Amino acid sequence: MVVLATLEPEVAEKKTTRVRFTKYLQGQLSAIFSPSGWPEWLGGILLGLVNILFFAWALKPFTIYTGFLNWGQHFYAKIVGLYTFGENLVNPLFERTSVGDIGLFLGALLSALIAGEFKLRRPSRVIDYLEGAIGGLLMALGVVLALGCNWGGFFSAITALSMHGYFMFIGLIIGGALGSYYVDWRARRDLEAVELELEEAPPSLASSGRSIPRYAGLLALLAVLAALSWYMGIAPGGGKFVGILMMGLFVGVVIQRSRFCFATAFRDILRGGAEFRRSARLQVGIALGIIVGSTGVLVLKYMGYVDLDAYVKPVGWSNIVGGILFGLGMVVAGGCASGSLWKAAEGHIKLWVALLAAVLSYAPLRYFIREYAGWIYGSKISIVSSLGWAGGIVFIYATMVLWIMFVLYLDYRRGTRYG
Amino acid sequence: MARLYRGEGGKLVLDVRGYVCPYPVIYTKKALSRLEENGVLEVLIDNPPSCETVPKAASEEGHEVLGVEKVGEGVWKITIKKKR
Repeated sequence: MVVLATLEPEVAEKKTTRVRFTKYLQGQLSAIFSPSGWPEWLGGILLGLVNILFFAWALKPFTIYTGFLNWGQHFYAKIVGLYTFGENLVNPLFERTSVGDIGLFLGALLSALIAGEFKLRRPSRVIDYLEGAIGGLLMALGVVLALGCNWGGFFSAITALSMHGYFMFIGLIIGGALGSYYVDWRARRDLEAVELELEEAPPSLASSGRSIPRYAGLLALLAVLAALSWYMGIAPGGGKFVGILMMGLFVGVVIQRSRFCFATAFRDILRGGAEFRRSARLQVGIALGIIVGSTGVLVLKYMGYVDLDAYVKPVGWSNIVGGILFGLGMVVAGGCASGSLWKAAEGHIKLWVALLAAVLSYAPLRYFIREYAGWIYGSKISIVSSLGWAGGIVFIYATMVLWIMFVLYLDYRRGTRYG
Repeated sequence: MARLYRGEGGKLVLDVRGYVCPYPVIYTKKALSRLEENGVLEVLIDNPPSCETVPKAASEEGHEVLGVEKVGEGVWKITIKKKR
């Protein structure tokens, strides 16, 4: 009895200090998947790296809207019976961009589920559905004019050493600023409607949406991933698509974690909106990603691994106008091309509406503008062909470093103003 | 719709669930302007990026962020004490 009594405190102590392995794992995971997210510069660099890897693997840069085109064509052909916008349709599970999009969506969902951030979020007002639809439509039109979204027209365009990325870049800066005027208007309008209720009852926590049990969600997601990989993997040459799915998954996790929102980046940068500092950090992340990505693609192109002219697209005023429309659209909808997929995966119903509008309008808009207004597009300019290998990459580094300096200057000026 | 409630002990509760960026930040700033110094504001959000942007925006303006607390799956409560 005496012996036991002296031993007991020790045993008790051991019991309290030892944590179960599952608890320990949860702790480790929740540090990586914490609500504060990953830094934007890290997100940008990781996206730059996967940009290179994706180009080498899929022989095209990571883009998004070609997948939406494929989905829209399927909708019009299979459901409406209209084959005008595309014939000989490729199975969406064997089309490179579409598979990348599916990967991005599932990756963002995976990340949101692990972080406990998934929830079906109904917009609080009807105007949000309208914003989603109009934003999606504007984005689709912008993509047709700029020959790509914030990826294929801008981020992946510059890393692919094509000049059209710079033209959309200019358009996005203008369009984002226009969008911020809209946000100001909407916020003023909404604030008039905010009531100060003198009730004691605090808002109920259960009212605004539904979440699914996290482990059930994770298991279901892993099952979907396994089934997709198996289905793609057994097809001849299908291994390629499993790789593309995995890279898309990686992009989705990085974007969800680092909150890599191009809409915020361009909305608040010029006019110093409510989230100016985040937009500045995002702009630095984007520029770093372009520096990393273009370096890698330069190697791929120089070594002849991909064609020098791969993904070099026409340049002209249409790219700037497209950038403006896309920039405005993404701010109104609350998410760019990747942002719509990511936030839809997180459960934002407003972004489902934006995705739906974009998918349904992109195929017809693209068809009609190319068919009847093809003259709006300029001619192709490759950065390397016009400036040489060294000149081309120096041009990209110099412009990106200058842009970072400008963004940091804006941040500095704001910092001093606020003391 | 964003709602502002009078909670216990004179604190304000701002419910911006259902809003995406940048509205939670804008409404938080507005709600803070309705508070006296040292008054407390609780912001309910369900937009993950706002977990970072709302506290950062508040501390940028000199207010004290008392905590970011997860109160449900995908829902957070950010507590801010008004300064100045």
